[in-house]
Amino acid sequence: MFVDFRKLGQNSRLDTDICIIGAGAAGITIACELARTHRRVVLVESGDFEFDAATQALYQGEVVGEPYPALDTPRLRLFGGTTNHWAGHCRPLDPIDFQVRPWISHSGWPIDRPTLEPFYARAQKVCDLGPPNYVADEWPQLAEFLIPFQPTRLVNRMWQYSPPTRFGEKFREDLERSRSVSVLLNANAVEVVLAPSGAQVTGVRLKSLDGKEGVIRARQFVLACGGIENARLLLDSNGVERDGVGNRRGLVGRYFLEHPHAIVAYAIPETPIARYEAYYASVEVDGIPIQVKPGVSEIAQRELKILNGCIDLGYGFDRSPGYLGIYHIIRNVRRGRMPSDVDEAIWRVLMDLDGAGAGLYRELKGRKALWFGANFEQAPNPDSRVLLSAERDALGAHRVKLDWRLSHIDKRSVRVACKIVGEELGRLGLARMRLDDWFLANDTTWNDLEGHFHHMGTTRMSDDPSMGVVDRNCKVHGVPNLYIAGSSVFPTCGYANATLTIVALALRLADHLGDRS
Amino acid sequence: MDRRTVLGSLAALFATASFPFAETFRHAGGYGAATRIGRIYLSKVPNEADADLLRELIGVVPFARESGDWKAHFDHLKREDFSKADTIIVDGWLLARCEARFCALLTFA
Ligand SMILES: Cc1cc2nc3c(=O)[nH]c(=O)nc-3n(C[C@H](O)[C@H](O)[C@H](O)COP(=O)(O)OP(=O)(O)OC[C@H]3O[C@@H](n4cnc5c(N)ncnc54)[C@H](O)[C@@H]3O)c2cc1C
Repeated sequence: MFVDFRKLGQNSRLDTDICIIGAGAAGITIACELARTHRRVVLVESGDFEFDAATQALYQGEVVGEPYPALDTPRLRLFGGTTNHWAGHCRPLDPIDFQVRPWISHSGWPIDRPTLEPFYARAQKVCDLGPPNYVADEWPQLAEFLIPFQPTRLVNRMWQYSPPTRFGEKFREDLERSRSVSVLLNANAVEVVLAPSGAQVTGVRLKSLDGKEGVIRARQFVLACGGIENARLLLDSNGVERDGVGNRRGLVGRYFLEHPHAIVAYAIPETPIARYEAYYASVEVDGIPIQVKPGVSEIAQRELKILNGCIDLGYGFDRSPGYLGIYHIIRNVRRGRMPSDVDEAIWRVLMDLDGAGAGLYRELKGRKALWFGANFEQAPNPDSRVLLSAERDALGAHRVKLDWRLSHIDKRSVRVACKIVGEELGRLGLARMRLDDWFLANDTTWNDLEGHFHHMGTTRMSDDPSMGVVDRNCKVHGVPNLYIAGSSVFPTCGYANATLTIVALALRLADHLGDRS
Repeated sequence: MDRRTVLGSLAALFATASFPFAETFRHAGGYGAATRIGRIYLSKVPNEADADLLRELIGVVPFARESGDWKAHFDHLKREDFSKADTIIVDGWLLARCEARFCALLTFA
């Protein structure tokens, strides 16, 4: 059943067994699972079925640290959440992602991959994917597309593409028909209210943009507002505890993780590479679109003490400094203007006439180069964090401030991996790699850095309350009736896109809550 | 075959598509780029700045004597270097050690 919070009376009080805040991938998955247990559930959602600019503006925030797109552009604040425009690339985390790796500070989950296995299998169905098998070599139909890398160095990692499942559309009817689940639309959680002792949540304060207020009480609460917003809500709920809920150790908002992405190298194919389209495009196997990427083997990760990750392959133009200078000028001239930094671009051409000439020649001949990008995990870093900004939104809540930071090992790991890919392509006589100049510098700076819009780590999981905000069951340490769903609980993030793991963890949490309530 | 003839024939071979590395260095910007890479390599590995040593290291001497299959010889060397990760980044290009040495040898031609 759907209820519009704005139509309820002022200062309404609602009671339920389980209250879930946020109707995105995580919140909807939990609500649908709990619907089968006949527990009374209220799913609280800030938005409605359609996009609304004023609601979306509640997501605005400040960006400091590494550059990042405006915070109200990647995330979506309406029923179905960000899955209303996600791309659907799915892959589980690797077993090594869960392990303590001595060369990566703060690594290790309190649960392992086998624990999540049955939930990953169920998550495949939720996300409309194929069989839960991500071992490329075990898909005979893929064999002709795979590059025979030395398995001690590189492993072909595969992704399945979800249609992509729009969680709001897919589950709307189930939730509409459910007798036990009510979805409260246009209701913004603005404060998680603690008992004076701080030992449990008594309710969540709600507000709508047109001035309605209310409180929801429940036996158990689940925050499922996304990787940034979960931290924001905890930090801003400081009526009883000065630093916010679940934040006695000052960990809420810290360890923010993204999947850093940048183009780092290009290569000239030495043989036609069209047959390897599974890498730079996707191929369909039994109706499932599949993509493959070269990933660093576990052996190499341990030996070289690097993070886990893959190298993205794409098709495009050369990236030699000289050719990039020409490309920059041409692109601007085509748009009818001269670039403001034309001097610098010409200088780059002059300093690399060979590269400029070779790139131009290939461009004129229509011969594309391969390019390589980072698809890596980021190392946990306590200084990379989500904080509260001094500014407030239309509901009076503090906006967020994102301070994304990267460390030495992040760039080094991608560089080492890229070199291995270059060596393997060279060994096989497939392509010649040139690494971008900035990328070779042994520092922490990135050119044209982007994230993958995966916001993780801000309420990390650990059995030790001094190392994490939630325990292995996603329960907030010290607050026994408060749980967190979503990628904010990831203590390390692997290189896989986050949503399949978010859904697997949500299914696991739903089972846990279903057993308990 | 004397030293000058070996170097001269290497440079000439470089210009033909049949030479195994020719394609690689055409991508990188041709002969000029190859010799530039050679110079940079020698500045990074100065103890190899000796044409005779370089010829020996990449097997040019016995090879020229037997006038065997250049392409197979260099392809083999290159594959070995790449498999063993015996590579070097010069001017951004990821090169098998034998390729960098070959470029270095060209600077003596
Ligand atoms: C452009 C783009 C492409 C992506 N592609 C992929 C991909 O290919 N593969 C992949 O795995 N992931 C992808 N993602 C990430 C994916 O969308 C997220 O991992 C996923 O949606 C997170 O689910 P969630 O439920 O945790 O959060 P969300 O889906 O963001 O849902 C959070 C919900 O909480 C609600 N909410 C927030 N605050 C409050 C509040 N205070 N009160 C009430 N409700 C609130 C929001 O309105 C929203 O509905 C992509 C993201 C973007 C932006």
